[in-house]
Amino acid sequence: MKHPNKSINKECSPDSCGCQNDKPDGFEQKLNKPINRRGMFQQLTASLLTGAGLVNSSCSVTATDDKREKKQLEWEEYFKGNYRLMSDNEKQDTVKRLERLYELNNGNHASISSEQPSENVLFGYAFNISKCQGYMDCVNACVQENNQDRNSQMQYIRIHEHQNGQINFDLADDDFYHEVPAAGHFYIGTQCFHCENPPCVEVCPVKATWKEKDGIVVIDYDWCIGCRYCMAACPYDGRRFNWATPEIPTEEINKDQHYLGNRLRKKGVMEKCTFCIQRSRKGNNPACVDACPTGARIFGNLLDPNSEIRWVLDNKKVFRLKEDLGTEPKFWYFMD
Amino acid sequence: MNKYIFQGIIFITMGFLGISCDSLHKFKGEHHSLAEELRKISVDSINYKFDARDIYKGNSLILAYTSDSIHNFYLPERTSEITSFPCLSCHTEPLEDLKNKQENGKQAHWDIKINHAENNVMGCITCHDQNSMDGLTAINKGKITYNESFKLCLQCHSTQYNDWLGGAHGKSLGGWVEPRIMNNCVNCHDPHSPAFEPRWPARLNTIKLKEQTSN
Repeated sequence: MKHPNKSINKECSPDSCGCQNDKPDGFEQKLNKPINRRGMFQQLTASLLTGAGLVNSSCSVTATDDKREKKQLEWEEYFKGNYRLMSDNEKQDTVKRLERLYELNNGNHASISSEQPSENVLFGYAFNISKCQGYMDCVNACVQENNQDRNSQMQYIRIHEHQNGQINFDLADDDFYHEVPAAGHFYIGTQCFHCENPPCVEVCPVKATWKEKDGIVVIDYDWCIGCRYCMAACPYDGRRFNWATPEIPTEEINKDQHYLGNRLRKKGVMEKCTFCIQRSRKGNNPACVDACPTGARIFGNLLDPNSEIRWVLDNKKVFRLKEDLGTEPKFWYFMD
Repeated sequence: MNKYIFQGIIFITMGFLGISCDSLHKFKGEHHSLAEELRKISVDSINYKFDARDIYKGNSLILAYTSDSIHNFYLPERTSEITSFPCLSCHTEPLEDLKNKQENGKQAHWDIKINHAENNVMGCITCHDQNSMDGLTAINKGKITYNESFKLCLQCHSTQYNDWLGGAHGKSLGGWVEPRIMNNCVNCHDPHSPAFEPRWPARLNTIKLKEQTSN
């Protein structure tokens, strides 16, 4: 499409208006512009590799347009900034690039959202210990929704089977397989608690993980260096690491994705529960809440006095795990 | 003891610098826990970008009328889910006459077993209106529709009812935004046998099992 301003510039002469004087010349536009360190590296290596790439692609008879486009997109992705520092336009650009890359890699379309947090929303979660029966439907729903690696059977949620009379996670079984609920036992589910004071965020040396305005602790998978400090810092075993490239059968991939949520991860990065950010930022409940047949899981806006979660906090005797650490998890347990 | 001395030094330094505790904490006030602080925070009217009715996928919704709840909420419409509704399309004769007719053969609704309270406490007509089969009957003989069957359950299960109205019992449909959409009691509990059946878990993590056994 022709840019309207361009045609105006063509028509006007230096005599009729002063616009020609304001326009910087080629030197000012390209060579004399301020550049930061990252940009300098990007341009230097770009020019180096463009040269090499040009020779390669011009001589290659096998390189298809798709391959070239993929390389170009991967190149641009490699040099993008931290998601938190991106402008809205940059976020849109990276989302478009990732969608196109997904299309080139998988042959079908996935929508990747960069939906921002809403005003006056702080997410919280409550778990009814009396109701959970240990069915583990939540775990299945979570794995499917969040595109977790099937090979390593990664799961964000753990359901711990405790013996009546004690809450002791060392003695609890989180991989039971017998008819449930077992007599004399009760069940407690754990996952990322989205602490208001998250130690995992404190320890990240590259600021690849942070707490969003709506309280969700997220990870930029393209910024994470895989040092696993956060995994060590989390007192609740809420974080998971990709030891290998995650593999999901193509037909099982959830194509409704979010940049900070369930988009496909790569080898060597951390991941964890995001309260299903791709769902919750659109008003929906996380997949675990939707899947639970017993209604043991309650999710909502802590700032809304009319919300279910606030009713639970105001009317039930609630507790959190390891409260003395001061991590302020936004995940409460209660009993009927 | 050292801890208190350390804390004291910090507070004195903060005082000199003119920094208040409030300015360091997201939740204003003294050093209270998040749950305590939340009770003080109230955003009166929140305009949500999304509507739960657009997210909800299922039967048409009905507004639940109850004087106990401050806020209105929706329930899935029930009668369209009942396969042989309206009941009066078969129940053209009084129940007693039907019973006499089918004495030797298989009775209608033979598959329904009541496993709800003691046999001497509850029978069919404790809840079903024998004079008008298209509706339900309350203890005081008042009429209750199938769509609002929760009004029947609350007669005995008042604790669960209060929890359901508040949000601690039951299943929320259509997301966390407004308006609130809840499952009716009978959407989760079979009214004739309301307890949940024991069953096997939906999955077994075989890799974790290997790790556990090798340790």
